[in-house]
Amino acid sequence: MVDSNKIEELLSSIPPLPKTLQMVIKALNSDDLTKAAKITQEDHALTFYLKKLVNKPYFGFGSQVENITQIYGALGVLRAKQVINSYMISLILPRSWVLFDLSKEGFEDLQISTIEAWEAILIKLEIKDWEISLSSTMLPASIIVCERLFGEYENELRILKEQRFITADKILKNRTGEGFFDIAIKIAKLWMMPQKSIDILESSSIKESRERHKKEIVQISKYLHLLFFHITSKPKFIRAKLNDIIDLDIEFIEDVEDRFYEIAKELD
Amino acid sequence: MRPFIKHKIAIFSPQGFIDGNNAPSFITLEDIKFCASREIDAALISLSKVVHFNKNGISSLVQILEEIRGKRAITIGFCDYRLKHFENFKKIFNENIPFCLFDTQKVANLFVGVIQAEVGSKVLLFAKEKTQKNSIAFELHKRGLKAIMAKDEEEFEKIKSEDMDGREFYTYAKMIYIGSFQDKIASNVHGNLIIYNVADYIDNSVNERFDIVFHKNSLNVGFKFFVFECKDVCSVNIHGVNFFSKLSVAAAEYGGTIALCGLKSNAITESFRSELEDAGVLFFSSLEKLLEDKETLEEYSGGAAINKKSSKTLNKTLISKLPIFINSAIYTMKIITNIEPKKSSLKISTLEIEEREEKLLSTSMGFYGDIDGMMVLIFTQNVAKEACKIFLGDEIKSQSELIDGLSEFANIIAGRSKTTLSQQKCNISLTLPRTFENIKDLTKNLEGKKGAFVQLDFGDTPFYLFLTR
Repeated sequence: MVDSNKIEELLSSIPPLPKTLQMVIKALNSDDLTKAAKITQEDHALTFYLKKLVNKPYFGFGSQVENITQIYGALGVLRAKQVINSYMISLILPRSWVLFDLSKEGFEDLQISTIEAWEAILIKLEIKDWEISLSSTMLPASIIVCERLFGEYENELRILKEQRFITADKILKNRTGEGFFDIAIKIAKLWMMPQKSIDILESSSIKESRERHKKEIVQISKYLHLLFFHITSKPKFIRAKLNDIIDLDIEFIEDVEDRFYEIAKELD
Repeated sequence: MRPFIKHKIAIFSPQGFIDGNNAPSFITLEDIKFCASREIDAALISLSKVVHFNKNGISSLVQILEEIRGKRAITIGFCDYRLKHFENFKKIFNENIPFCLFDTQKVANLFVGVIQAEVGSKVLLFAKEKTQKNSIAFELHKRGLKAIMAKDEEEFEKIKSEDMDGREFYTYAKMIYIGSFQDKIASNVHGNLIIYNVADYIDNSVNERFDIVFHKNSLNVGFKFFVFECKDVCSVNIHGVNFFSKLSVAAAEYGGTIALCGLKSNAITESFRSELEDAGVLFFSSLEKLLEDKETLEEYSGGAAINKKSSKTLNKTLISKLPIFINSAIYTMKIITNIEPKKSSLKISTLEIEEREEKLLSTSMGFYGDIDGMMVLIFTQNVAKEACKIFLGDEIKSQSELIDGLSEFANIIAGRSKTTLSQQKCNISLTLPRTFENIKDLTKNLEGKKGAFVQLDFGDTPFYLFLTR
């Protein structure tokens, strides 16, 4: 069964951020979309990913957008950052999905749904901060971590879950002291994600960390915590078996749940 | 979403938001079939991790639960909800809820499944409606439990806060609703005793309400004394007499005894009573008195009687399957702890195990079908903690939590053995696990029984597997 060595193995297999991506992020951080597009063209995989992703209905570009400069122009800086982050996460996708009924496309769908919903929530909360916007892009990373750690123990996980309600995240914590989000955060740090994004992600998922963070960070992180369950309560993601990989912390979100529900109703 | 099954209750645990669109994805057709194929008394949906549900969502879930109830006569409902959910239920169903609502799984188990609360346990309750108040108190009374009704919510909270250490009350419930309820004969496990709670008329319907599979399983795992609490029985007719006679004769084959407690003289004719006495049924004036009479309890539940079935000996067929049970234990321990236990000795003997400095805990599970017997696992406290760490983490709050974890561990080993045996075309069914906090209770229960006694070394500490019939 999964242990600390397996976590180390996973972390050591995470590639450092490729040079091209580092340069794209730097350009985006300076709001230089033209430079970002120019650098992107040197990376065929990234170019292909961007073209495929932005032509999905969610982005609503009507006709096919093929030109990278046009793509960046249409996305704008914030969305471009989100898309680049999603691309980074796609670099660590498992070779095949065993635990979850997902595919590469299904995962992309999950990424887009998460970004879309988070953006709408932040608009309702009147929050305009790109670092906060980026925090949701790491949520799907926890699912990859779960698949990569537990994929080969599907049967064992099923047997354990037949005995009581226990999430894979809880099993991992009981065995190693670390949960999926602890690992996702290590990956985010390795990829030099903005500190505020990491803090929100940490507060949303790691109870013990909340005392360390500012009140406003903790408050926003409650919405992020709820977002995960809003997304994984969608029929296609319940069927993909994503609904019970981590524990929903009701006590944590109690003071914002009604507000979140009001927003979520509008989203649906 | 597969439910887990505990004490014969299937629990589904959705997380997040429930609406009309996603409800059917939480409990699929496969899950319905799974529940219908299991020996369960109830199917409940835990809402402990549900943020919000709407009318369409909850109605869909109720429909799905009703579908399960259509295939198997069980109680259905919800548990582990918060006050806002409870209020929402009442609003949606207009105070006319066609299912049960239980504050927690512990509260649910007072009414359904194999009751874990000891007879005489007190339960603190508050219910606004008079009819609910009465039916809750009546159902608990039928099960040998004492309902203490608070007159209002304030009193409920006051009494609850005074019982900080939880010594006075087994549990508390203030958001409970007994809707459509499957009237099965409730069973409690009280030490080495099984208590069935019956009321009203004991007539032909008793056969439908009595869980004969559970009863047979209990005989299989070594329970010997079965007591029917009859203080609320108003009449026993010829069908009731036949029912008790048959049970008594069947129990005798295992060295078991059937007793009726508190049956009023006007509830049974003299001739029926003599007929039952002739069949070996014992009569006691009240359950309370019987529970106080340690000598009688010892005599009938202590396992002294040797009889036809319990003198079954270990046979070649069971011995040939021993490696499957050993490998399942080794594999499960390895998977759960990442340490592979090594088999260090195997002998055919009776169960002789010395009390060690460290307390020993044990759990047994019976099996029957193409082969029958009993698998017993014995652990030191520390090995038990290691085995349960995957479920409980490092902080184990109570001994009962550990015992609970051990039952789950035994379930996994027995389940794995069952799967491997079925691959060899040997099909078995499993009983519920039975745990012993005191090793003396176990050795007494298995006194004189020969079996395969296997020592497995887990690091420096051994644990034991005993396979017997």
